[in-house]
Amino acid sequence: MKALTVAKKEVADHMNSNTFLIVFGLMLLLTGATAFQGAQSFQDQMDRFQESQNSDNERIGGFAPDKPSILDAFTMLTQGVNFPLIGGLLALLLSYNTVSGERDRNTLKLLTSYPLHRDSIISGKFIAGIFTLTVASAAAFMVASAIIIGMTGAAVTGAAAARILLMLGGTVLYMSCIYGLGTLLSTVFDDSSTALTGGVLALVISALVVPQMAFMISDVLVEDNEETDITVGEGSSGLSESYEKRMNIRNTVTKVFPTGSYGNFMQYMMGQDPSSIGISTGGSEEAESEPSVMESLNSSLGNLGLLAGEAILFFGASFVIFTRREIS
Amino acid sequence: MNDAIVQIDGLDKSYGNHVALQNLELEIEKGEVFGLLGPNGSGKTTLFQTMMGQLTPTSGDIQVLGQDAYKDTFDVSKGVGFLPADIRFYDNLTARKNLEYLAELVDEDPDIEELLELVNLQEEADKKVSGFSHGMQKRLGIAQTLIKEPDLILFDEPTTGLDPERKEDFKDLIQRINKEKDITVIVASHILHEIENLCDRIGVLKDGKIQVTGTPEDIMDEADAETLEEAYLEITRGDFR
Repeated sequence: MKALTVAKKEVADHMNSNTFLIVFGLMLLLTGATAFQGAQSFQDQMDRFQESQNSDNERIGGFAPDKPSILDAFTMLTQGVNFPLIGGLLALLLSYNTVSGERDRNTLKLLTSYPLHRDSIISGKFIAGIFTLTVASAAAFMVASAIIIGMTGAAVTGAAAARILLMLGGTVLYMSCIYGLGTLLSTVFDDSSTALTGGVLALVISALVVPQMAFMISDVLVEDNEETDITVGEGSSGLSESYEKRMNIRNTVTKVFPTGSYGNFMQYMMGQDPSSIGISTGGSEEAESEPSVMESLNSSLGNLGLLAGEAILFFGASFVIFTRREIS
Repeated sequence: MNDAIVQIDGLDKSYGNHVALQNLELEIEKGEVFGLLGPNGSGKTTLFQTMMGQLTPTSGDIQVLGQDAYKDTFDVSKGVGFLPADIRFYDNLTARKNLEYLAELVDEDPDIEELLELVNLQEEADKKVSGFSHGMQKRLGIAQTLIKEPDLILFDEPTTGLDPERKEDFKDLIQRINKEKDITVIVASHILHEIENLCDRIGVLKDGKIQVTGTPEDIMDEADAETLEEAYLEITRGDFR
């Protein structure tokens, strides 16, 4: 299969490129530092939890601290700049010159003069990108897991291990989506610098601008007429109605963009509900019953579907444009 | 039975308002060394790229090796070697690795040593192409055209960037592959000296139209000129026809 021949060369090119080595190195460094912080935070929470247990269920500030999960140590990795931004940047830097680079280097005319279907060229490049990003993500997760487990000594249950593996899968899917976007831009634009500028702009909008816009939109659409976001009493979910409405609007807006879908998926995988992030409902019944892995996966299917759909859409569009465009 | 390896009828190619080729008619027979001569911008590269299926004809019919060059690009490219004028290779690979990669793409197992020797690059075979001069990349480009064991080779400005000695070597090489390997060759150039004494027939291209085709003698007769150079100048600069 010719696509695999192309992919083999592309993987070697990616792995040996200075760009990949620098950004991957940066991602590993950040992963290490963030995992270190996550492990320390987990340890602090565990100490507070044990303290409250030892002092006869003493409540701190009115709430008893929950027993922390080892997954909490991964929160910063998946929600901060690490995977959403640096991971996205790595995917973009590997893809922005997928086609335009061949055009810039004048190798595209040579390549397309060989009896090689153009779909093999673009598919080979896509396979190579996904493989490289899978290796990079797996290495980052392994480093993070080693630091967190090594520092905390916490036992990783089967469910936690399954959640970590699903998080890795989600990260690969998110990066594939950004890789697809970069490939599409490199197919549409004649030169690589325009493709890179467009890609960085799209990533910044998706990761930084859209979440802020979502907050503004939700605040404008839903009037906040309640004094507090937390409610108490029988039959209450622990969150005010207006707060839930605002969070639903925010999630709907952000999940249309890859970074938002990825963020939501990761929260589900950590056993959290993205619509209640930022609010601890403490003693409510909902907060005490952590969903199973399957329940979390089911809840996140919409986000996962959006990510997969966007990746397929970007790749499909690149494929169609590349196979029909003239080589000049 | 027509022995044409290339048959072009009424070919037009436009980029927006710019007409690159207009009503082009050309027939090239098997075994020929054909020179496509014309000033820069006359449409030589567009014609080659259309023959390779890289550009879509606006109208007209273009048959290469008996196949439609646009619809059957895959089959046409199996039998046609192409040296683009601005050829470049993968900088991070050596000359040998570049040839091996291209051979792997077409499931061919050519004698890479022989190809490198043919263009005098055997000593640079294991050096990265990033350090190659334009002329060395051209020579490597000439070698890659033979990977597919083609029936037809299109050389676009093959001698640009080569020093005089290499230009002579190139002419010898063309004649060898034409005679010994029975490969039809089309050489495009804007420099008359580089294709005279090399080609069986010459076609002069100007403003996207073939003005005249024939042996050098035929062309001199048509232009009523004493030398081929005079004929070429008359055709490309004057009000020929």
